[in-house]
Order: sequence, then structure tokens, then C-alpha cells
Amino acid sequence: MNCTEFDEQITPAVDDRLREDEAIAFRDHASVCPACRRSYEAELSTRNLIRQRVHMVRTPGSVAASIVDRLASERTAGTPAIFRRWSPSVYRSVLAVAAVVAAVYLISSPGFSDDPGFPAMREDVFAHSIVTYAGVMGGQMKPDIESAHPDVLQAFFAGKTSFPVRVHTVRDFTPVGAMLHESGGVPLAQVLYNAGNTTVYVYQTCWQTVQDGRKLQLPTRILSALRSGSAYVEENADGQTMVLWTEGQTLCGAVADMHTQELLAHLDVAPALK
Amino acid sequence: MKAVGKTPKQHEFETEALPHADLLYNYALRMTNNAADADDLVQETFLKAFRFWDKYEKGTNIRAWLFRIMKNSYINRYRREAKEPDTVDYEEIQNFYNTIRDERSDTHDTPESAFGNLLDDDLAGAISALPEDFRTVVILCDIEGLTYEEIAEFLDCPLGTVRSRLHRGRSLLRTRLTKYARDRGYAVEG
Repeated sequence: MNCTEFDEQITPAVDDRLREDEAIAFRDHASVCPACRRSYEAELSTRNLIRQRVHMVRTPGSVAASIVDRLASERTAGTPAIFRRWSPSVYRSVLAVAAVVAAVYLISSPGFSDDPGFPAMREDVFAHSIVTYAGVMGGQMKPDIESAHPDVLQAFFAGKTSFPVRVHTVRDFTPVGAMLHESGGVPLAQVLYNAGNTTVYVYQTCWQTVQDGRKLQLPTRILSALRSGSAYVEENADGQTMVLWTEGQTLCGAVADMHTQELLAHLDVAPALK
Repeated sequence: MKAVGKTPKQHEFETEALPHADLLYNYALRMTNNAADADDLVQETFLKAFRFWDKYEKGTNIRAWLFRIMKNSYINRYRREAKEPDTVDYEEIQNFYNTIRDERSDTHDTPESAFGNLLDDDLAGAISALPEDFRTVVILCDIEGLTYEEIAEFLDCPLGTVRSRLHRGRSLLRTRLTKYARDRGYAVEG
């Protein structure tokens, strides 16, 4: 082995990648050529210095969490343009909200698959929301009023329902519009809140009517939870969450394309979650 | 109440891709030498990977796939900003390398004790000052512990290229560290 050949072998020698015969020739040359030996020792010590002093660091938890959050927001990308008729800034989340409403309904109604009769399901508060949102996304239905001012939206509902309607404060979100529709003759008040590309959908209806189960229905297990004064929270497989709670005569529901704890952090329903 | 759920795609992506975040983060950190930039680069990489997840061939080297996405992102973001050439000028580097090798040949004692006095910032600075191609293999091999074979797959280049870049990268690094040690007044014979 000459000095040029030795130089080419320094790096694999440092990294212990020489075959036995190569290693023997390498050592033989190093024993008779001090300059080459020093070159080998220099690279070895440099490699060792890096390995000893420069360490791998863990990815910050905040970065990992942010990635997961952004992945969740990515999944609604690519929505057809048809859904942009109402408001480009909220259509994605509206779509997601409709999805969670549908999903929650499926979860909540064991009889769904056995009884596909759509007219009957329209009486369900969730199903009604599906119908409403399908119309909103398709452009056939628009919010009755668009405003970022809670008092304007509050005034819109005044005197129109037999139960109190409150335009809630959704932390970090701004109201964007409200709708009032009827289901089986019972009003369903709905308010949309927006922050970036995320929408929180809050609806309210008559709690007594829902308990009666004649015009509006809820699955028994949800009714039981609400009657005990608790809020009911359910998250579907897509990480979309629904919260139901009661306020006096009013049944309130909030739906959003976000995980349970995240949605709860935006809502003031903590007392009902005890 | 149900446990936190995700779409199947998101679940699969988080299971298969996210465990390699450290590999990407450390590379990004050493390439940008800035934690905030590394954060952005890693996030951008994973978002791109997620968008193109259907393009990833299951069973192939996901680390190499992710790395290439990050490398492209890095090039698009930083090389354009810095207006650097797209490739290293190897002739210039070779000349520089030959020069420093001659200088090193005159060194009778290695400056290990002087290196021991260097600050971690000196080491980080010396690494970040390496030409990009050399820095990449030094990071992947000596910091991240990848094999030559895996680095060759990451960079889509022959093993011999990995070996030669590593050799030159370490030599350049040593020269810079020697200079730092001298500048700081630590004894370096030679």
C-alpha cells in the first residue's frame, strides 16, 4: 500500500469498515509512514471529538405537537369549489363540522342502519343539523344573518323561540353568522364562529321538547347524561368533537373539527362537566 | 366517551413517519444552525410528506424518503435566500483540502488537548461552516450515526462518494477547529 491508497482508506479505517486483509495492509503502512499515521489519527480524533461533544437532541415537544395539529387541519384540504359559495374562509371547517355531526349521529343512533327511513330521522336534532349543513355547503342555504357582533346575532333571535337563545362566547373565536330553522315545528337556533380555517358550530333548541321525544329525539344514553346535569362529550374517529349541555330550558350543542380538550378549552361549559 | 381519534391516513402517517422526527430535526438544526428555522423546516417537511403520503411506496426506506423531502425543502428555502450555487465547487474545495493537508502534514502533535477547551458553540459553528455536501455526510454519519449505505441511499449517490465527502468534511472540520483553538489562545503545536 502506498500513501495515496492509504489516504483513501483512512475514512473506512476510522469507521472500522475495512476487511481484515485491508486492515492488515493499512496497519503495515501506518507502522512505517509517520505522516500517514498522523493523518489517520487526526481523522480518528476529529470523528471521536464530534461523537463525544455533539449530541443528538430530541425534537421539541412543541414542534411535534404543532405537526400533529397541522396534520389535522390538512385533512380537509382539497374540498371541491362548490362548497365555497358561502364563505371561502370557513367552508372547510363547515364541511368538517357537517361530517362530525353525521358521525356523531351514526354513533348515537343504534337504529340508523336498520331503519334508513330518512323522514323519520329528520326529527333527530343531529340529523336536522346534517340537513341544514348540507344545504349551507351546497349553497342552497345561507346564514340568515352574517355578523361578527354578538349583540346583532342576539337581536336576530329575539322573540323567535319559545326557549332562551344565547349567543355564547367561544374563546378565541369570532361569530360570523346565525340561522334559525325549524325541525318538526321546533326552532333550531344556530350560530357559527370562526378562527382562521376553523369553525365552531353551536346550536340550541328546546330541551323540554327533546326530552319529550315526540318532535325531537336524542339517544337515551345522551338524554340520561344531560338529565343528570352533566355535559355530554363525544369525539369521532376523525378527531372531531361534539359537546352537548343544557342551560335551563335550552339544549345547547357545539361541534367543531378539533379534539375534545381543545374544543372544551374554547367553551365555557366546565361546570356541566363535573 | 371515545378516545382521541384520527383519520386512517393520519394515524398511519403518525405511526410510520413521525417517529423519525429526531432524525430530521437534528439534520435541520445542524444545517440551519437556528432552532426556529429547524422547527419550521421539520414542520414543512412533515406537511409535505403528509400531502404526498399516497406517493410513498410502503416498505421502502421511509427515512430516506423523508430526508429527501427535507433536503429539497432546505434547498428551496435557504439556498435561494443565500443565493448560493446549487452544487459545491469541488475543484475549489479540493485545492483547499490539499492546502490544509500540507499544513497538517507539518503538524507533529495533534491538538486534542486544545480541542478539549473549545466550546460547544465552536464545534457547532465549525460544523455549520462546512460546505453543504460535506456538512450533510458529517451530520448523518458522526452525529446521527447512519451507516455509509444508508447515507448513500439518502443522497442517492455511490458509497465511494459518501466516503470521500466524509473524509474531506472531517479534514475541513479539523482545520477549522484548529483555527478556533489558535484564535482562542489554546496551545496548538504545528
